[in-house]
Amino acid sequence: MAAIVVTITSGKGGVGKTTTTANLAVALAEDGFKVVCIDGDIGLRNLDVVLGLENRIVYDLVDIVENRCRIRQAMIRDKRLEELYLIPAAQTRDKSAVSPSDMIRVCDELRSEVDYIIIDSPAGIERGFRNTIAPADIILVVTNPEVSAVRDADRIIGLVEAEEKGPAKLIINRVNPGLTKRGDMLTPEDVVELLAIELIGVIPDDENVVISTNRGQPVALDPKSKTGQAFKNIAKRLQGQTVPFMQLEDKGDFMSKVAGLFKQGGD
Amino acid sequence: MENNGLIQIKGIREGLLISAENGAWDDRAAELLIMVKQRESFFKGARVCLDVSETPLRVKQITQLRDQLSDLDVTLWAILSTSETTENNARVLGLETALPVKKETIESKESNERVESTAEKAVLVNKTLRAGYKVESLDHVIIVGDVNPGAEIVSAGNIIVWGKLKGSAIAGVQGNMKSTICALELRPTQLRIGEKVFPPQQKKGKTFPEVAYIENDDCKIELWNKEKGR
Ligand SMILES: Nc1ncnc2c1ncn2[C@@H]1O[C@H](COP(=O)(O)OP(=O)(O)OP(=O)(O)O)[C@@H](O)[C@H]1O
Ligand SMILES: [Mg+2]
Repeated sequence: MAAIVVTITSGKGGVGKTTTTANLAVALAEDGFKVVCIDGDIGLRNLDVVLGLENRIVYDLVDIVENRCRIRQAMIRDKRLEELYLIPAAQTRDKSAVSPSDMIRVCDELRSEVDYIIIDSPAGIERGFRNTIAPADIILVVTNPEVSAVRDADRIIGLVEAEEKGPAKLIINRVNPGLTKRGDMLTPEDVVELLAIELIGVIPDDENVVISTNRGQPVALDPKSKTGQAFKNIAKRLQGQTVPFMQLEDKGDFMSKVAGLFKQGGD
Repeated sequence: MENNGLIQIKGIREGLLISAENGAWDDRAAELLIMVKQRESFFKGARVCLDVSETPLRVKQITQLRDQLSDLDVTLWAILSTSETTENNARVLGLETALPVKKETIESKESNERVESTAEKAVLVNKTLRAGYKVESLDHVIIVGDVNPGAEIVSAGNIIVWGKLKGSAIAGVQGNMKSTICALELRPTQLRIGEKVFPPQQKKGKTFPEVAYIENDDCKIELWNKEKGR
């Protein structure tokens, strides 16, 4: 095995990086891959909560970096899925406890043992962001269909290009067809037109995400959830499969327009 | 002024200007860090502009030095270089690449006397300017690509955008009111020529190449389709 390192980042905070990391990791593990997610948000860890693994943390990323444990010891295995692991962030330390070269070293050590390493970034463009993109093979930029989130995503995409890690791929999270129809939010087309990078996922705005987050049960675990399906589709596209962008039910035809934008890329 | 061969330091209005123009980059960077460590109290909290002359620097080299300096509580805010690679990489990281263009040329002139542009050269940027980018030049500026919201162009001469101008553009920043700004699609966040700010425009439907200029102290925007000697 030679793992692919996927980093989830955004610029603006609160747009859904952690949610995406957890669900993408679950979806890939459901597809039979061995997946490790790393919480790169040192000091503000919460990927463990979203995955429902909070109460099992013994060691964390900083312990690995500072040689207090082996990588294996800090990997918490998810009991629901055979091959899903989490390396949590430290809660009491700041970002400077980890450097970009530490992250590269940790990922390189894991590469031969797993299929995917999914890294959750902190908000912003400072040290924590650079830590998480340093080891990345693929960078996924998450945004919401809002002007300020898109502006920050644009900034991040420029930085990723500059660090020669591009082109990044785009996930538009919390799309609400009702609001876009009334013109209160950007449409996915507007967002893609401005950012001009490949779209790899469109996730609906769904209150079940909040509920499932609080329960530590990512929606991708629920076979009936449409939102879960949207995350699973990202996992498939990451594997190189062609999956049509789904129709958001009873909400007119705007998702088909999105699909129309990506004839060559997806459907 | 300090001088130890590789590194020179002088105080400027914006903080410290450090010139590290000669020698292999790694040596210069190491030398600079040693100097800062040796004179910690002098450098603590300093804002530093680094002149690397023609050295082409990669993003990694810049970020590494910036991080090492910030560990020593020194802020690297600008890099001056004649290398386009270095300038572009610095810009992308949000660093300045020029000391602020002085406005005194404007202030020292009588109000209605025209200041002729000295700009006859142009800076060519062959890519889309994403949010956070700033291109600042005493020459004309030509962008082949879009200028996204949150990106900014400042020129003492003209600005030409072969793409969509959605960010901010200031032409004739030193007071040349004959400067123009043109774009295939003119939908700027802000448009300025000299001190004159264009009123925001409502744009709907199809757009055409347009040129913005000042005539009789009025802000004008018209189709960019004829040779008008502008
Ligand atoms: N598709 C969605 N529909 C509804 N709520 C969502 C969706 N995605 C995320 N949320 C909610 O938005 C909030 C922020 O999400 P999340 O923590 O994943 O963002 P983040 O980008 O990781 O934030 P931070 O920058 O603070 O790390 C959470 O309460 C989450 O449940
Ligand atoms: Mg988060």
